[in-house]
Amino acid sequence: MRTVAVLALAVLGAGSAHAFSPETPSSTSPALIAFAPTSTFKVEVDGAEIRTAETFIGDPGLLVLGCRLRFPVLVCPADQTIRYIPQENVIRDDEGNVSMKGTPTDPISSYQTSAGQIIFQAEGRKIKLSPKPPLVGLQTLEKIIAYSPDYESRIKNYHPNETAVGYLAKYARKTDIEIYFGSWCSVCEAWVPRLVKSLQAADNASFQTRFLALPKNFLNDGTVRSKGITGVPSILVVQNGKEIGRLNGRPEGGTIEEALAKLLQTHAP
Amino acid sequence: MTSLLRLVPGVALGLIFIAAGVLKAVDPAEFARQIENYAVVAGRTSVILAYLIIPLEMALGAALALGYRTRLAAAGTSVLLVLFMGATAYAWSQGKTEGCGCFGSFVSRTPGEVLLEDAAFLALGILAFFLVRGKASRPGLRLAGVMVCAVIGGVALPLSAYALPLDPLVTQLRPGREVSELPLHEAPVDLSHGDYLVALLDLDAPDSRETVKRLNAIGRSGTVGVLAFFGGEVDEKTVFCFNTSPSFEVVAVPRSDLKRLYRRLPKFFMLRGGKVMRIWEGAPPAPEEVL
Repeated sequence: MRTVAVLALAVLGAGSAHAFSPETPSSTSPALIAFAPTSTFKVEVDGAEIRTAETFIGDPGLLVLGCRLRFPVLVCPADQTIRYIPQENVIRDDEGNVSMKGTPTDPISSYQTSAGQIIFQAEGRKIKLSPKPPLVGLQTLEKIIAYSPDYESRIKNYHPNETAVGYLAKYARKTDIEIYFGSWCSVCEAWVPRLVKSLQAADNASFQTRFLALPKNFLNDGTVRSKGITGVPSILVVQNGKEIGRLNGRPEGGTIEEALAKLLQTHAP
Repeated sequence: MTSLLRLVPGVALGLIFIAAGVLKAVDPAEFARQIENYAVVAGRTSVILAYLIIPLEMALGAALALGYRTRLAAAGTSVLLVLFMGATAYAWSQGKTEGCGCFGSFVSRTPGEVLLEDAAFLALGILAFFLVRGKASRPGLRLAGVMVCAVIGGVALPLSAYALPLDPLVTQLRPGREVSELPLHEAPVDLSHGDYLVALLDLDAPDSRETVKRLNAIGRSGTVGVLAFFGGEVDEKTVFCFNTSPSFEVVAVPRSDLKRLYRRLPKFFMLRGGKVMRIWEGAPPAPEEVL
């Protein structure tokens, strides 16, 4: 069941390979349908965020618990409906996964999508499911991957330039790589994993990497402005506390590992 | 000679306005979107404004270039430029940093660059107004006829733009192009090898579910890879993917990059060995067309 849960979570975050179908439960037990916890959505009821609400993803759709309705609700993308699940049919295990037994009720309403949000009315309340807010502040790679599983698959699938990796592998000076990025940013999602994979392939302890996630309105942030960051990703290369160069946005031709190797060669051979 | 030199600012500005009008006219929906992005007007008003500004620009440009009622045209052009600059400054003050639609979607600049450029054009307009004083304003019948043609062209071109096969001329996507020449640097796979059906999608399109269903069917065949791109930020795909269940990866790329590949969405193209083989618009190809 855990495998199913992890797969379901990865699939939603990656925006790929969904197979929601209320008619085809994937659980090994025909009586139970597995749901995995997901933090992909935040839940708002009548305009107020419900921080205690929990969301779970499974084959039939998105299960929302604790959204101040009489019963847990199931958001079914197959027919864009909202259905109740009787409370006693929701079973929680020790690992935090949830299963549903039986079938949901007939639709209690339908949902609309607008501006990237799912909106529906139930029991006279307006419920809104929005994508979770972006990461902000110092992050670890694990946190980034938990937030955006696409990073993991992109790290895995990237094949860095061997010459550049060879150079990075032998580089001897202690160097801090400060990666300013946005979890919302498409260019970051493409290029940051490539840099991570290259540094992983170089396997050189001289490089210390820090990930700093910026909000969408980062240009209003004084600290960010003081660093001269006007776009993301911005990769600052620091030696002895002093910035020796930076890579802004996507590299102009070539790969990001080649750009980093070139920067290091130019500034600190 | 001196009198010829006096015509230069007007003719130059006229040609610039004609070029700007034509570039907008080939993709009027994009120009309307850019107007809406200025946050001065919204919805249908931006569409109406787009279809009015295009013929106006082309008519003013033609008048300046041909020397027809030059002072009046120069004054009109200058007023239009002042309005453009005001709208740009307002949008900038509201945090809108997308460049203007001055030359359609073909040239991308920051609001600051736009203001500088418009100021330079305004200087040309003012020069044209004063330099042709009492001269070169030739309200002849033949010129008036050309002016009427410019206005008709300014109305007809945007109205018929999407029915005309202009995509190969005004976008970077055409058969035979190498994928390395296309702005798809964010692709999570190496598109230069193998066979891929690439979809350029509008995530808000009402028929998205049907489109994804057909793409899923092609992807399931396993003979070609399917990859979809949309112009926007990463989190915009969350609800789309939840709703439509794509069995292929949906990749966010900067909208300004993707826009260079289409006038209207959705659009699909087949890549074989990194080369664009065939392009489809409006709906995905039938599986037998790509398999």
